[in-house]
Amino acid sequence: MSTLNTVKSPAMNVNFFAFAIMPNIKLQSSDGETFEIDVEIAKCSVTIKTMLEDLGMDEEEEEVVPLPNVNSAILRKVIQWATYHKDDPPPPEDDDNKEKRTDDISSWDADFLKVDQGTLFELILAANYLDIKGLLDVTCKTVANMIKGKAPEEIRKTFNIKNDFTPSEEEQVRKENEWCEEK
Amino acid sequence: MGNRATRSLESFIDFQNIMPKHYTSVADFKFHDPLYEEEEFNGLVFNSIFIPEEVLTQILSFIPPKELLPLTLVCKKWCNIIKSECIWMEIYNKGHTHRAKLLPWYVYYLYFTTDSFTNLLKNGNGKDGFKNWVILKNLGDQFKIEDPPKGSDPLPEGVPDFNGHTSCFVTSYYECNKIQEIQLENKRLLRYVMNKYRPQIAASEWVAARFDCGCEYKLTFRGFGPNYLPKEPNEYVDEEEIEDALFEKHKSVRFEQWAGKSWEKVELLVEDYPKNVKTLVFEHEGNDTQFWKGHYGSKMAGGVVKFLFESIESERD
Repeated sequence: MSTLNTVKSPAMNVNFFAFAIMPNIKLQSSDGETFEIDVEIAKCSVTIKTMLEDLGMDEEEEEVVPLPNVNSAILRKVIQWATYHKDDPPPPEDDDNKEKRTDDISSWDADFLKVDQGTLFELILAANYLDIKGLLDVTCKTVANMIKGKAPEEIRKTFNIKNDFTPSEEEQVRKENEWCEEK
Repeated sequence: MGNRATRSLESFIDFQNIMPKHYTSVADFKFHDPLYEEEEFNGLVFNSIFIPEEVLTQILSFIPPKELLPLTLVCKKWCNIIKSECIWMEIYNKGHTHRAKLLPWYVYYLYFTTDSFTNLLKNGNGKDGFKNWVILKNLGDQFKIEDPPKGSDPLPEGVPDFNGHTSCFVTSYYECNKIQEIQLENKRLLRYVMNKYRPQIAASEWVAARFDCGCEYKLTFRGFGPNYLPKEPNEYVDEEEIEDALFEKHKSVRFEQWAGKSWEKVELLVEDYPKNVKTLVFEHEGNDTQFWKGHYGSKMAGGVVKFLFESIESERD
């Protein structure tokens, strides 16, 4: 069983005292590994937060939250991300006409997401399942950046997608798209 | 899911028959409405990992709208996602405090990729001289561009209509009149949306006078059908042609001497119009009321012609 020390970042040391007095929660990955973390960090996952509230799980009890959809390698990454971002202000209300940007990934997040494609997609699934909006946004943006500027053929190659259009269907889509553009 | 599969199978069989034959005619054009029958997981498996459709929608919603349409050619699944309203409403919701309306994808595409709902009028401040304008009457000491405006307040700050510019047009002691013609012929998608949803059209402009001289100003906004002929500079426009307009709105403003140096916005709203509008004509004219040599006439800046996205209600039929 690994505990607190799954994350070895300077931030952890700074907050060591806070950890000591905060109630902890145990999360169990699909492959049976248990992670003990600050309950406030765990609550950045709406799924866990709701689970705790709905099931009335007592924070003082030594209960283990099973996460059958997340393996230990990914859960470790998720906890690392959540720990780093635990003091982030809540996401601001969207302003009118603010464009969705994919180039606003913080350098810490960019470093954090320098992982292989498999890990990246597993992180997306975990963020989606655990309902962690910040992590889902930043992982989705990272994949969007991999897609941006690529021709359909390149995208098919990158992600191993089959072109399942018949030639006439493809022509139909192409023409419809063309029609939508101003000449 | 099963329901959708059946629907798309039927449409698949029927597919050749519903194909529009003429892509250029807005009246005949039909979007390929039913979803393509897709292979179950193709386009959703990345590196052997299955990504649910709503998550792929999330990912694609971060792609700039203009780049989204070419991605319909990746595979049927991607095409079905991009040509459905969900992803576009998602994109809209990220940038707006009020919730997205249920509208077809192409209405949002028009919203995100063209000037139709922001401003179709160009060079409204004279930043590029008289480019884009046709001067029909240039009497007295003629039109002039002032940067900043002389004898009036500077343009109000932080108004998007001015696009960050500080200059304006100014008229003289006899009539000065110019028009800008907005051709919709090549804006097929806009005309399609106009025919189907009749979004309201707003034409507006900011006007001011010199502090020491009275002046007159008139804004006219018309829509014409296919028979409209673009105007040449100084061309005489006969009454009959103006009577052919499919709609016309106008508003006049008169500033008394010593009373008009602050800028005010003149607005026209076209709430309904027939189908087949092909040209929009924005016309403004002015002159001073004291008959003074020089440029003591009305000043105009920040002209806007735009369709009102908020006036679009969900589908009519």
